[in-house]
Amino acid sequence: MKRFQTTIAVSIFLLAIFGILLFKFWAIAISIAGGFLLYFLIDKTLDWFERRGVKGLPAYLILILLFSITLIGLTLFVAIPFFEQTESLIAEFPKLAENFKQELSDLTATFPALEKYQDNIKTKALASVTKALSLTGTMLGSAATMILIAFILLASRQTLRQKFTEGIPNEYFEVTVSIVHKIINEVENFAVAKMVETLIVTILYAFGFWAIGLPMSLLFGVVGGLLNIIPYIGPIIAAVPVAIAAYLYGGYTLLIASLIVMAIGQLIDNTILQTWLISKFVDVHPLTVVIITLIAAEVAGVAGMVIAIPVYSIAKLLTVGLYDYLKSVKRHEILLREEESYNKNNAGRYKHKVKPHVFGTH
Amino acid sequence: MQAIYDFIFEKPDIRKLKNELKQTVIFKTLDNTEISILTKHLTLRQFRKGERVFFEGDPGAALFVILKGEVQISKLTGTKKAIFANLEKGMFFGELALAYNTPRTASAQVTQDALLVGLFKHDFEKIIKHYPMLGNKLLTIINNILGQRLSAVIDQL
Repeated sequence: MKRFQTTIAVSIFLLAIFGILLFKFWAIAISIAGGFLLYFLIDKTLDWFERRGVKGLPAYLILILLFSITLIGLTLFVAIPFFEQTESLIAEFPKLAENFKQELSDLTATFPALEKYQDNIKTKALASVTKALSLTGTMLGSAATMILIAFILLASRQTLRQKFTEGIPNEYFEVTVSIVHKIINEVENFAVAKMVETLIVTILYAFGFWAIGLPMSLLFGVVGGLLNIIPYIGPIIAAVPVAIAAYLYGGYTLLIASLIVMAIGQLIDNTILQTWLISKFVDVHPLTVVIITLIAAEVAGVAGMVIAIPVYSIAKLLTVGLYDYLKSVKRHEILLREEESYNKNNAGRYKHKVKPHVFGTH
Repeated sequence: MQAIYDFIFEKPDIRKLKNELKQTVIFKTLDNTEISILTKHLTLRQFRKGERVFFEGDPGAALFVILKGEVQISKLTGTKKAIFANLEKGMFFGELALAYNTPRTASAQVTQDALLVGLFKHDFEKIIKHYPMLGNKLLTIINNILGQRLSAVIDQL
């Protein structure tokens, strides 16, 4: 019992340290989470093949083939246009910045009251553009680490489950495995839901921007889709560079059109995707989602907002699990005391006995 | 070549486990493919003599099959203790956990150092969902054995 309590105390301490480190270095946290997510995806794909009778070497070969085709497809149709559009944006940036400055001066000439806010608007707009691009860059830059983590996990796929359960004391093995299964299930479901949501929002934005004639539609689609992972403030950060680019490339008409595209995207995301996906996959009330996200934003900023819901779900499951565990400990102690007293009084005598073959070899 | 294949795809321990599973009461009628699928959903566990697998009243989450050792199933009611069975290699217990969400009806204690393999409810549900044929076969086996146990208990009353 003492050993288990010490294990729990050490685990909580390590988890707390780990949590603090995660909040401090959230880019690393996203890489680790992404690595696990990638592993789950590959694991699920391999499972899918195995269910259809393709297992072992052929399954891995087909997976590598599919991975290569996807990678080539993404490179040709997404990465190359994405980097071309980014390069083109960087090349045009001085000109665009100059145009923006000019437009702002014209605006303050028309509305003199705005003059005192001119510097503030300039600084905030440029800061938003930089923040949006840097956040997107960080997310994409973590891809290599994610792949590495996923491959390390895949290498021990067959024994991962066994290795994980080895440290749990026998007496609490059954209850611990059940709780951990629930936690993994919840996190996995949340990750899948978020991924599907991000993909759909990215496609919606990219297609919408392309339809209204906004240049670099794919770049802005990806930026908008990825930043949408950050609840509430993500779409706002993403809207600033899109709005500036739309205004500079096509004036008020394109600005309004791009804002309409983003508004439609957000409407679909908030009313259909989030309601359907998150509630389908994660058992958290929508109001709780809002409150938890706001609290997490105060405590841990952007990283907190991204991981607030899975962390809340895990905490909820752990609390219920810990309560059940404490109840079990109490009950076990009573049962052991009763058995000890029975053994003292009735050594070797059984009140009732069922023939062993009943449990046996039929 | 076989060693490399084993290292990546099938550890020798797992091959041994599959052979042992084929000798158990519950899994002896399964074919090689079914045993392979099942192995991925099982958890191996070693217990020392005197250790409890579970106590009566615990939430049941898994069925256990004995690959080595002995397990005693008993229930304590006030000052009376009923020993239902002393189970040996190849036998299984805790199957009600797969069928019902009720607490454990009896305690299981290891009486000889044991190697048990656990099939958890969530894994069993996964088997039923993804491999309905195997799930159906396992359900039929468990159902038959439960029926036999029930008739044996009735006979003894």
